[in-house]
Amino acid sequence: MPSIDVRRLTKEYHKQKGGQYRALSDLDFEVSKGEFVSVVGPSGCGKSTLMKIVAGLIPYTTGTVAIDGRPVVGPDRNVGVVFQDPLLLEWRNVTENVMLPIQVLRLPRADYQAKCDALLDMTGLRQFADHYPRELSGGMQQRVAICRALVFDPAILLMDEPFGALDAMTRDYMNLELLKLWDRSRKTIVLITHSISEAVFLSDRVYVMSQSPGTIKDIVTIDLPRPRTLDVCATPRFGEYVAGIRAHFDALFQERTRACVAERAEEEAVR
Amino acid sequence: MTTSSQRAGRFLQQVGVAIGFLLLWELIVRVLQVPKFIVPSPYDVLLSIWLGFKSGVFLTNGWYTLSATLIGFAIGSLIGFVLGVLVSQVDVLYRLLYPYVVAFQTVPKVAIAPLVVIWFGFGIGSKIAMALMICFFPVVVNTIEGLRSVNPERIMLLRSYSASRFDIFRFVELPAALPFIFAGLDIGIVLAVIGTVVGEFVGSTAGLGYVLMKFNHEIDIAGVFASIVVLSVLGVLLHLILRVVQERVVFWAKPGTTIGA
Repeated sequence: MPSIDVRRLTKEYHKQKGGQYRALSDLDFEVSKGEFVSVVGPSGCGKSTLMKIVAGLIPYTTGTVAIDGRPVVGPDRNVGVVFQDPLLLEWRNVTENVMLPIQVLRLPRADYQAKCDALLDMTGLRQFADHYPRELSGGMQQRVAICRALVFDPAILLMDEPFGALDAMTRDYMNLELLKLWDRSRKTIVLITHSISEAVFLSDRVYVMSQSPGTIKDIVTIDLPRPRTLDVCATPRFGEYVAGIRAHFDALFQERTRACVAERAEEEAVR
Repeated sequence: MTTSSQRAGRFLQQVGVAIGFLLLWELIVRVLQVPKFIVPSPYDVLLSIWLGFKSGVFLTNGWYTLSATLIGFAIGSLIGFVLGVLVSQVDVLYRLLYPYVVAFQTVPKVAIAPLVVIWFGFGIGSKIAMALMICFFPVVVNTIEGLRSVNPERIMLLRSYSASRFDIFRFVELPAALPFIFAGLDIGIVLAVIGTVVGEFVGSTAGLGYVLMKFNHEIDIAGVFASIVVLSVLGVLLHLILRVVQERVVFWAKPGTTIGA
């Protein structure tokens, strides 16, 4: 039984001017237990919407969404979410921020303090446990957010462009950290990203999404040896994967440009 | 970054400006021989302040004004806070009441003072009512604005832990709104002093506003100036106390980053 199972998912928004906007259309998405899967796509293709639906944070229009065989009706205790913004609470120090889910989920604090400390150790934040968010760099803040998503030990970790705001070097470092973390815990991880190389470097499989309506264009299995180091990025195989996925976007982009040009020509003709 | 010696230097300069101003005032009044009942000299004012404290007039009446202000402020900001929470959390209330809150805010509360004295009498009741009414609005408006301006993503974060409505309020909305609420309280405390004094102007038998009017009728203009100084010091002290409390409670927000009303 897959860990995450999404079948024929459609999500429609009501437009403000009236009418419907189809954000996701007839989408199939499946992640096995312990698998690392990335979703890449141009901005606005609905990949964040997909994540929020799987997390039980927003409703969907048609289709089925299940986690461990149970249909998703709301947020699940077994799912941890990391958003693009660290979303730390400025009035809580690092420890208090990491322990926030424990408090909200009414779990015994004493049982999870050790888990919290271990996560801070692992992410190199131990000596910043008493610091407040404004004293931390962007990368450190996002590491706190990851600790917070993991402290209650969810089996599934959903990440929505968690490293999007970081500089390239911090990003590489965070990717390595994430791989180490996944190696040790073997959680099911879904990473939403717009970086093709990040997706290839980290994942077992990469879902390629297209835009309007958002749907799955291709699924690429990344057959690179593990454990991976940054050296793998310099191999021809890695380059081939990246080029293969990029080709999809080039095609998408050209299609869109052609559509634009055609539309313009039509307008001209009418005039 | 300014060093502490630079800061001390700037402070001395500021004090110097004040002393210079007072000396200039003293000089002009003496040279032009301005009559005492039009503009008293700083020396006369100082003397009046000293006499006022010695006779106990400023202490007893200052206490009266202070207690009316504080009671009015406490009740007014409590009601303002509770109403602000209700209006911001219940959409129906927000739609129905918020336009009226904003509209009433523009009514000059000072103009209502004669009515308040008729309703609540010449005693401390009408002063408390004035202070209450005038400090209520900045608190309610800032509470509503603070609670409604919370980043929706943070609410989504809490929802991902299946948080209850109350948990979202307790862990995210209320702390995030505190800097706004304190900005409202800060404006409110200064306005509360004004409310009390206006109440005392219109009809009273005690209080610094009453003392000020009495000096005015007796054409003791130095006394009027002295009362104004005492009232200003009272206002500044209340504001500073609130600032200290604010810096303790809302330690994560830099002062000046919050909005006023």
